[in-house]
Amino acid sequence: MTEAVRVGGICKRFGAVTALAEVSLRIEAGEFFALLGPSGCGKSTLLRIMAGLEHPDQGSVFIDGIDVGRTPANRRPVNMVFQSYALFPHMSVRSNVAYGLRVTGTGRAEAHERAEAALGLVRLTGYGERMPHQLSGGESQRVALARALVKRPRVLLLDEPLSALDARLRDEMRLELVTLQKTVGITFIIVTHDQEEALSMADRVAVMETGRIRQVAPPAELYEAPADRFVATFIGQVNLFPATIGADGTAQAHPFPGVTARARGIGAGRQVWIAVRPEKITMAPRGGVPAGRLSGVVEEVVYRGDLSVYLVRCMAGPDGLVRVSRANAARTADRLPGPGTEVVLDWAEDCAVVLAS
Amino acid sequence: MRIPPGPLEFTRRTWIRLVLLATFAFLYAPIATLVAYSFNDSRRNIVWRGFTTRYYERAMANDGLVEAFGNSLLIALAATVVSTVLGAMTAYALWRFRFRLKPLCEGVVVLPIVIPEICMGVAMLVFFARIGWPGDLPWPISLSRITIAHVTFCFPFVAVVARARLSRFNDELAEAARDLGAGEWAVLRDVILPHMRPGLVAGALLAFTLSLDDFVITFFTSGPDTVTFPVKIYSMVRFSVTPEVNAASTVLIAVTVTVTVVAMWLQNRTRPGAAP
Repeated sequence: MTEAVRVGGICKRFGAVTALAEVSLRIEAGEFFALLGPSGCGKSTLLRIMAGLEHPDQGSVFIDGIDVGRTPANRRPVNMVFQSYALFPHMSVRSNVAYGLRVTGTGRAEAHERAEAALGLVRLTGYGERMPHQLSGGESQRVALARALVKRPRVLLLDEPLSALDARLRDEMRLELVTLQKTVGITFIIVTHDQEEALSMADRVAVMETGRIRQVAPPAELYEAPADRFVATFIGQVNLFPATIGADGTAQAHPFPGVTARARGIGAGRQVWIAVRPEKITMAPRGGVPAGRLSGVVEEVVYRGDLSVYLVRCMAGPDGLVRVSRANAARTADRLPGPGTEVVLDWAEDCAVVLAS
Repeated sequence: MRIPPGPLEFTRRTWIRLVLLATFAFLYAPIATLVAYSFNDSRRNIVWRGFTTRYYERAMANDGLVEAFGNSLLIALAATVVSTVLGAMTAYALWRFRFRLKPLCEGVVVLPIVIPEICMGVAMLVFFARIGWPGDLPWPISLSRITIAHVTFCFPFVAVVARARLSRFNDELAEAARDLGAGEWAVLRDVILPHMRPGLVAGALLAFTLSLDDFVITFFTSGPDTVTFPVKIYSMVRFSVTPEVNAASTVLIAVTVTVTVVAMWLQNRTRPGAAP
């Protein structure tokens, strides 16, 4: 694979705040890549540095193998979709889309033709004459996409593109963005704080926290094999048990003798965490079945429609609650244990992941 | 059945209607009287003697008055154009760039707004005398002194209005334009100036009306050959308040109102329902 974007050792400070600390990243051509993290983690700053709208204090940016450190934003082969869409309010939809071509010297006829083609790509044929204030949120979003795609950039940068849409439209646009990316074959880099968005759209995701990249991996790997505690808790729900590595290389949770996991490459005696996802845990009423890894009493049931979340008290204190989620495969809600039921919890050996930090 | 007024239906409460009526009467009764008495068939113009348009004809025939009116319009147009350009540039510079002593600069720009007009007038008089600005130039250029004086107190208004408009600019628009390939000038031309336009139109209107009816500063900077409309009316009033003065004033009111209405209509037509 060839690389589309490579950043190396990027540092950026805003006054006393460190936005990015030594960030390095390589994004392949044709990839749908997501920068995921809580607000203030520096993901938008990184995107803006790629676009040339922000200058790093240190480090380099390569696009298509060319150092663009000294190239101003208007000469970089990347285009951006802004969070507010930033459609020019005094121009028609067609002029908005054609702007990038017109301002760089493309003739009117050709620019309009290509603008119409780009509008067709986002399924807005016939919207050319409208003004931005006549568009709905979803339509504005598509116009912003068409405007950024019309110049056929090497890389399309999307800054929280779906955050202003309502939930239903957001789901639709996710699928559409993925289809669009496959159609045009351009590298997409999307910034989002929504883990579900990143997991469902991207080929690879970089999880960021306070200016650092914690892990870069495909969605499934990120979820099933998180690199550390931050990634494990930021993406989805997880039960964390404090544990110690024994002499045989097995992690043993402290108050729970049944909770063990195989650790690789971590020295004996180290403090670690054992992470188990709620949906990996099986739950059965006590008695009759073999004793599981944990036993406890259901304290609370949260009904979520497609699934229910059970908080099982396995020990007194704030760390004694274990979260279990079960799909509501049957229609009636009384087939699974209600509050007060004594249950045993179990999971397959490889479902427990050891986190060193 | 009569529905009692709701909490926010202020215009349906009798006492508020009365207050509104009184306010409008207070604001417009003098102007209405002025306009009505311009049609009064009486030289002394103290009691109503019957309708006539004679004094409009007489005002039209008064060469001095017509010339003063022409001067005023010319000065107002020139001052408006220069003030708008200067004001737009000032507002852009104060908004776009960071430099030393910027707060001081922002204060100094609006200073002419708060300095008493009489002081500005005297200052202008002294200034032009000191630098020896020639007073005997041929006609349109002879108005340059008044025009310059008008620009000094008009352009801060344009700058303030345009600056306020710019503070509501979404920076992402400029970034989007740059990202799409626009250089600094193209961003200014294609995105920032269109955004500033309503502010510039409002500022220009303000400058035009301020210049058209300015008396104090003009009085100090005008010469015997460069009389403006307000100065001319003042000199006419010193002899007697005839309906001719009313007629001339009514024409001035009509001009300013028309210009304002036309400008507002133009603005609404080009930006249909656009959010500010």
